[in-house]
Amino acid sequence: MSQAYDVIVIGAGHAGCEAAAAVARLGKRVAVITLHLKHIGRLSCNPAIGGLAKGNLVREIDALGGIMAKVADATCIQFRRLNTRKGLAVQASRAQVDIDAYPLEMQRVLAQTQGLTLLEGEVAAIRMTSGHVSGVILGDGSELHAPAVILTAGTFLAGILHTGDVKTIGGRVGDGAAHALSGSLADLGLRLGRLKTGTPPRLDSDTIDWDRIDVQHDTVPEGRFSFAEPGPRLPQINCHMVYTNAKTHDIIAKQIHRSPLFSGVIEGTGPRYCPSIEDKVVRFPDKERHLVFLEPEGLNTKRVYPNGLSTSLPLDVQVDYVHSITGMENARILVPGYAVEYDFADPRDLGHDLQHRNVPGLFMAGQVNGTSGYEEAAAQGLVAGVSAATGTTFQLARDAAYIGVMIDDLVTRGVGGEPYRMFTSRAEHRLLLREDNADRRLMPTGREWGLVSDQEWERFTERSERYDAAADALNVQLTPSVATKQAFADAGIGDIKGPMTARELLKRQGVDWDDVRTVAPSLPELPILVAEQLTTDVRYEGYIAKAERQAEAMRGQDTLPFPPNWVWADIRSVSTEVRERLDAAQPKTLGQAARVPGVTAAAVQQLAAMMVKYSAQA
Amino acid sequence: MARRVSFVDGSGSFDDGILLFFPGPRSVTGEDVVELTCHGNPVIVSHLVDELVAAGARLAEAGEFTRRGVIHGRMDLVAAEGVHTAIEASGLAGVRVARQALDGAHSALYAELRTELCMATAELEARLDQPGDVLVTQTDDVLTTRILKVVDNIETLISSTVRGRVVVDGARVALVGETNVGKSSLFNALLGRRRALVHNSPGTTRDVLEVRAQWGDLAVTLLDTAGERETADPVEAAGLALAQELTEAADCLVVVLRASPDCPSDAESLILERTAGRRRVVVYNGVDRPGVGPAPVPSIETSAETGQGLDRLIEAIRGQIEQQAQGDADLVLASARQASRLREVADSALEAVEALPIAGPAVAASCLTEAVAHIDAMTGDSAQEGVLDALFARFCIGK
Repeated sequence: MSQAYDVIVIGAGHAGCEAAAAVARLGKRVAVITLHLKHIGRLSCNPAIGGLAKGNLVREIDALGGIMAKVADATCIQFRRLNTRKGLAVQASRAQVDIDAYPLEMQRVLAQTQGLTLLEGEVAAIRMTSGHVSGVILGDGSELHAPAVILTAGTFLAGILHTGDVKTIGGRVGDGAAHALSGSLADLGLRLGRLKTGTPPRLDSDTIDWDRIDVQHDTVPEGRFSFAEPGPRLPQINCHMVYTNAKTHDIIAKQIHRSPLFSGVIEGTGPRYCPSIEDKVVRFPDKERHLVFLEPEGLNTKRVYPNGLSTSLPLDVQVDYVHSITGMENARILVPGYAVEYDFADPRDLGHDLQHRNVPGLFMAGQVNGTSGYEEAAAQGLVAGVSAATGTTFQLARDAAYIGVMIDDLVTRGVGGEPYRMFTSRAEHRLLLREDNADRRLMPTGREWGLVSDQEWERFTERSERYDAAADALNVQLTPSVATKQAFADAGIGDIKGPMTARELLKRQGVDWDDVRTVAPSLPELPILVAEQLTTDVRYEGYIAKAERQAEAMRGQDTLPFPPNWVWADIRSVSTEVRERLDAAQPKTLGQAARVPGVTAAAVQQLAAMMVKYSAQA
Repeated sequence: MARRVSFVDGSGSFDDGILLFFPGPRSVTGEDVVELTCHGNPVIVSHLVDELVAAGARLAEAGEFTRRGVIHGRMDLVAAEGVHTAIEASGLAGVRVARQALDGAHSALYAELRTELCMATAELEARLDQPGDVLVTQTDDVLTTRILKVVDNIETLISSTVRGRVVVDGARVALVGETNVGKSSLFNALLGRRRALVHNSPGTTRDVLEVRAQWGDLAVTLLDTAGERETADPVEAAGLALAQELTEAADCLVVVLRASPDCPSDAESLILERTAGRRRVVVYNGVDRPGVGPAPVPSIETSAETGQGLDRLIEAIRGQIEQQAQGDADLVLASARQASRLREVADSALEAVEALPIAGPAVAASCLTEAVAHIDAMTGDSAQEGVLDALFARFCIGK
């Protein structure tokens, strides 16, 4: 029996869920096939959403009508703002979520989505008709038909789990791997590589001596990711902090030869930025201690996630080093830490729509593209979903969204040997790409594409109007009268020496919107979000204006497409090496060509000159 | 690879010479290059070129060989400017400065400064992406010190541009003084030929004359300016304004006083006062005239008519220029383009230092990234469209 859909999504992790939701939102029929319906939306690693740069991705997904932010808000058990001391422009949010509630909420949201069908099964192969994707073939031989397939296989392609020298086949603890599909993809000509990532042991909360451990305080109980009307909040919990010590490091150093990451058993390259504890001990021998966050996995579980202790060492070593940490002398390990090694497909073979260049109709999103992280996966799912549903590349510019930076990096530069994680430092226009202004950056685009609901659009329009009115009101003059001077003193915001505008006052260090309102009562009351947007825009206006100019200059190159009659092999005015790199990368614009590794500035100038010649001929 | 060749046209052989073949990519342009050497008679050279053009060659555009070298990565823009300097240098000292650029001394320094700024940027960027478990060790103070050291290096190099200009282009020496004190006569005497129009009615020199002179190994550009006086003549007024501008950019001033019992006149006193802070040589000119009396201020007594005091004047000017061009910097910068780019680098770096405590590491890192971009634009690692054109347009021959 065959069934026809507009889009089929393979996998129901963070990429798959977001992709399917986007397709359905655009009014298309979508089927999601997963190995286990109960595992939809699972958090395979830590029970947290967001973090530095990742929080921006979550907000961007929300501004584009996605679901991750809403599910995270509904299941949040602790909300924090990071980088608060590093300037308003680079702050990011991070939510601890209930590890059981999150997938349930995700499943609830998907089940309620019109036009979305959830199916349990294993996909054995991609079905091809005359060189174009036409559906999938399941393990039982049945077929599903669709002109577009989005592959979100996560770490399940030829996945192997390592705990010390014990190897298990699987994409995640408790789940099998997708071996048949991996073979089918290789047959389609996909270039596969190998990557690895690690997880820490999970601990039993009842066996930790909490009284001897520091609580982490800087929480924002009312914080939310989504721009939508805030819903009810689950009870909030505390996270704690412990430190490794000389004894911990000594235990690990003595047993290092038993880590497959070091003994050479694992072939895949691991990440430098989320290193395993054994990596940290080896690479930073001078460091006396490493910070470990103890994150409860949920309200109804005793499992604790020790963030910072990921490992592939054998269980007996894990037990020893966990016990060496203050307050954890008797901690029991519920699930041993393990490393997972898996296949990924080189994302340089994809277009900006995440469609494979050589397999029309096949879209890929998430860890299968060599990325790391739930948020990175979800963002790719959204882009692939919209592109597959509309047949048009849903491309966001590098100066418009972290999502745009990530996808351009992936398809232009690849992942460079380790899982790609979103970083603030990857975004050259980061002063423009703030978490607070994600709606102002992206909701108009989302609305144009049909992704933003009437209700959310109305809320956005209202916020914009309030922003504009408040920005105008900031021009009010304050004069140093006796009354004003007193008001300044009462508010604790320094002195007023001469006439100044409320706008100038808002630029002062440590002065926020409500402070300004106390001395300038004509200013309107603002929702926290709008006050934050406006304050950041005003306080950084010089830097933001400069960033806009730089973005403008770069945009020039990014809007210069190579003409249709352009053939890389014929471009003789650049060196053979550069020509080969460009031929392999097939950049679409001059700006993208400039970002291909190894392409020199002089070569870019030659290309620009050639483009002028070509367009004269065309 | 060299071989003897015979140059042949439709009517037979017209010369013989040597063919040198330099295979790419290790040639001057990075491409295959052939050099032909023939006998020096211009008739032969020009006929050989005509024959080559008839066979399909074309004449190189200004700076084309250097430009191709840059495009193929044989040299960076800094070295390319060194080629230009080597061609244009007015003396041996200038040639040596050009050599520094060609040998990569400037490029090496720029690479070093770039690395320092990149390290500082990386440090700041790392802070942005490292919550809690911070593997970062440098404090704001350490970083600021590192950045300011880069700025210091840049300032030193920028200050050497005065010397660079003097040794490459020659020093600019401007004659200033009240109108009709004999500046033009002196100018001509210093040049040893009649160049400026001399007439004893005031205001004869209405424009600025600019002539290069070579005194032994010292190259100078002499500027004769319109004399200073209030004037209703718009042409003369424009000349005065131009003179003002040029004398301000001069490396040395020659203040000419008219030898007379009334010296200094009110106008002359004003000129002496206004140029007091500048490098200058004061001249008491026209001492051959009877009854002029002794100089009222320390000065060199000269007579443009008899030539008296001219050697002493030249020596005094030389002394001033040598002081002006003096510097303890080993590295000398001759390129105004690089100097102005370096100014931008320093400004962006200073902006980062200011921003760090107020706006935080994200903004500071952005400022440093901009500083690095200015370096890249300077060395050609990210040359904006048009930079190459502007640069190579200054070459007047096909080198």
